[in-house]
Amino acid sequence: MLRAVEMSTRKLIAVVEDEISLRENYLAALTKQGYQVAGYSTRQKALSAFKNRLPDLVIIDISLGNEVDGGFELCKELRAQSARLPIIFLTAKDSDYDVVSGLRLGADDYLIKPISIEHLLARVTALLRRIDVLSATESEAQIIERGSLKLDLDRITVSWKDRVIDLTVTEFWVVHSLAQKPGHVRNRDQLMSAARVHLDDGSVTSQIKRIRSKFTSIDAEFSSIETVYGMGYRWINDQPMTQN
Amino acid sequence: MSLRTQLFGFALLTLAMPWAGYEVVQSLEDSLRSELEITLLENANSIANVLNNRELDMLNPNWNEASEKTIYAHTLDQQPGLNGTMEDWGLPDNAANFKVGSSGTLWLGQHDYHLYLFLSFNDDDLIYQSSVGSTPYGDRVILFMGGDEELSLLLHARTEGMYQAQHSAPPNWAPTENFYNSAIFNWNETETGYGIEARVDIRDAGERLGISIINANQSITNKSTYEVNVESSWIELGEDDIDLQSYWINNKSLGRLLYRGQNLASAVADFRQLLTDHRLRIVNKEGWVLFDEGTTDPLTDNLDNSPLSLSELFYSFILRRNDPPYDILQDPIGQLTQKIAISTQTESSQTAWYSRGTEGSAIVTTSVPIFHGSTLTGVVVLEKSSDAILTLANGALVSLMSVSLAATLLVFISLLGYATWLSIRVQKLSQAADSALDPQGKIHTALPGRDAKDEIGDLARSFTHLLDQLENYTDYLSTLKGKLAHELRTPLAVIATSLDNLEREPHEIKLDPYLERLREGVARLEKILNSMSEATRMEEAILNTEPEPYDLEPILMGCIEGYSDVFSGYYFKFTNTAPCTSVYGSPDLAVQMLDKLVDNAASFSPKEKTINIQLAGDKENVFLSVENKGPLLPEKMQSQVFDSLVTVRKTDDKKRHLGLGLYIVSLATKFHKGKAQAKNLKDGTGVRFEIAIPTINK
Repeated sequence: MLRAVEMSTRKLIAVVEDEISLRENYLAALTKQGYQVAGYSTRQKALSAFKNRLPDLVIIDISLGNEVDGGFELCKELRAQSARLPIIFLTAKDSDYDVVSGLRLGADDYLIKPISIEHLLARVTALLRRIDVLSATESEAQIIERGSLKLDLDRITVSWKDRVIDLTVTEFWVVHSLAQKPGHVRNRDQLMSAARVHLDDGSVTSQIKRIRSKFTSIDAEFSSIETVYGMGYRWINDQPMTQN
Repeated sequence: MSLRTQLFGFALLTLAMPWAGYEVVQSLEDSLRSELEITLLENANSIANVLNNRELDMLNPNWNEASEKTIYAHTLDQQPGLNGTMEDWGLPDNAANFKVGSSGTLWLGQHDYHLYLFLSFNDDDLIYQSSVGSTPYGDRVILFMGGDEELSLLLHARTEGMYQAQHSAPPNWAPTENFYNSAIFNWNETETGYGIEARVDIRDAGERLGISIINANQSITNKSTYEVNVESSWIELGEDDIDLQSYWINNKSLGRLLYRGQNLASAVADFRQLLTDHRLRIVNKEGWVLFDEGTTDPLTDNLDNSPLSLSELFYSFILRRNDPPYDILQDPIGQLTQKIAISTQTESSQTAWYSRGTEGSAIVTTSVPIFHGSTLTGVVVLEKSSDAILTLANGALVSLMSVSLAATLLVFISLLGYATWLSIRVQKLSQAADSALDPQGKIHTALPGRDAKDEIGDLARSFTHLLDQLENYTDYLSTLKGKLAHELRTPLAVIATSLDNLEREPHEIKLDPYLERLREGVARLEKILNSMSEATRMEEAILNTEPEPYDLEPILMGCIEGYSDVFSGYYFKFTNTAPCTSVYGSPDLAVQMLDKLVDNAASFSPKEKTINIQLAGDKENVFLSVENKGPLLPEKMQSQVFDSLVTVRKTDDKKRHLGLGLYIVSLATKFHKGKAQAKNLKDGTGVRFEIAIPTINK
């Protein structure tokens, strides 16, 4: 992780969170990690600050002060300004509905409080690296291929039958964990630790559901993620394995 | 009692209307009847007044001695042909007749100035005279008549055929050649003996008549001799030498001949107008009809021509009275016994009603005694049909009853319809209220009929309002967990991040145990929050999941395989005896359900014990049960363990439970339209959780 920071010049990370102590905790942790930080308590303050300079990554809480959906609004406006700005939702809202809405708005990840600083930092690092790798023209791609699936571990991108699938970092890690050893069953705990979150069983189920629907929106016949009831999930290659 | 039954009962009250109509018509007819009786009595009285104290025809007060015998001659409508039979007399079978001795029967008829006699005699040994003047003289009949002169005639024949009567004389009443021209007869043999049809001048007969039959029989002991038997009217005489003449004539024992005379007819000629719709009969004190004219049926023809309508038939049926039949008024024909018996005994006028025929019309009869001085000589019987009244009553009745019946029916049907409508509305409301809470736990607040402006509408609105409030409350309750989890997450995040940061800062090593405990507490809190969200998420998932058919068995088997890894130290035993394990629902939810059941069982079961998982079932349901050998459930709690936030664990247990696991089981069960229950095992060794799920029955 330190490597990621070293690779970049000091990145500016903005935290938009109305709970002061929480914001300060994040800021402190991020600062300690070597990032430049900026904290905002409301959408307006954040927006006016972003007019001068867009940060390299934004962490947003959904409810901001009086605005219940202030975070969603902010995400929309930021996405309008920049398509590539990494945005992470960090919120107490844990319903599937909110998760789906957040991701639809273009957020790169959706994290539910409480999350350990360590997990948060892992995501921040991963997202920033993806940006870096995308912008760097020549980089040795670290790629895993499983049939029609291609995982770019540097860019943290996934493609299926040569079409890019827009997965969040959490989802990417889940797919990565499954595809690493095709045919092997990954139980929920394993998947959760791979995704570096602690989730209940139901969340894992809906997580898998979301991933499947992202694949099937591109390929209606996608069936490579198989449910093994009572055990977990496994990856089934859609064609003879061509592991490199 | 249902609303409809109650209103049906009330609707029956409307039947009082036609009943009242019936009563009105009944009393109307009563008054009309009594009016008719009065008029009739007045008429009969005036007729009786005309006849009182007059010696007319047979109404002679001197005749009324009990010892006198009456011979009644029927008035014949047509002249008989003297052919030896009675068939052309036109008399009914039950016409009055008279016994002659023990073997003879005599009928009499009167037409113009002739008196006709028909004598039927039973004789199995018919003997004719063998030759003129010699004995035996044969079977013969002697007729005594008391007109202006006393006359005894011998009816004697040598064989069948027409003869003239002869003058003859006692003691032997031997045949003579001395014929009497105005009396002729026809002698006929019959199957049982012989019949004589005779005609005499009524003036010869006058008012008195007697008849004797001399029956000659061959002696059983001496075939050449004959025994003679004499049978007479009213006397039993066995001797052949009896002086019949002196007996009949001198003792004045001849019967009284009665027939309808012309004098009575002229006496009541003034009342002839009445006879168009009245029947007038004048009888003597024994009931013999001496005058019979007029008709009670002036309307019968009209009635016959127009058959009664169905409603008239109906009303004549319900209006019928228990009058005795009219037929009994004349039996035997020629004599009125029933009616006048009372009048003659009480010597007062009587009125009575008789029913006639099927159409329910009646005949009113009044009888008024006729007196000569203080002696009762006869009775005037005047009759009138009540057709007119009944028709009038019928008309009024038919219209009244028809209208009231129609009104009743209308009210009845409307009431019944209204009751049905009401009860359907109430039923709908009650059904909707019953099913307002669906198996998924959703409340349907919109009740039918809440737009109605009446009390049922009010009720529906109150229910809807109540359900709305209930829904709000359950909404609040069901979101409480989510809200609570949400609200707790932020402060928990503050603590967790602070802790993270603190650990990353250089700190004294002696703080580490405290940090460790803090970390533990945070982790535990987090777990609680997660399980709370899990329940909420499950509820959401249930709303968004469509049930699909799937087979329960392979899913359960897959799960159970995995459990041995997860729950180390426990043994799992799976048995399946269910005939059908295909159900409707969601495999994901079923897996979660089983997870929670097994988790629950494992947390109660002592280590190294077996947890039994069974599938059993019948045609309709499959029963999934999980048994553990843990502590028993308190009796009271068995029905509540599946509720949210209910736990029966002892509080000093290391693992804290919020009681959400079994709640998730109950949610998944509900989604499968099944039923969950928890029971202690009968042998008291553990607890059994059983889920009944309806199978897909094909």
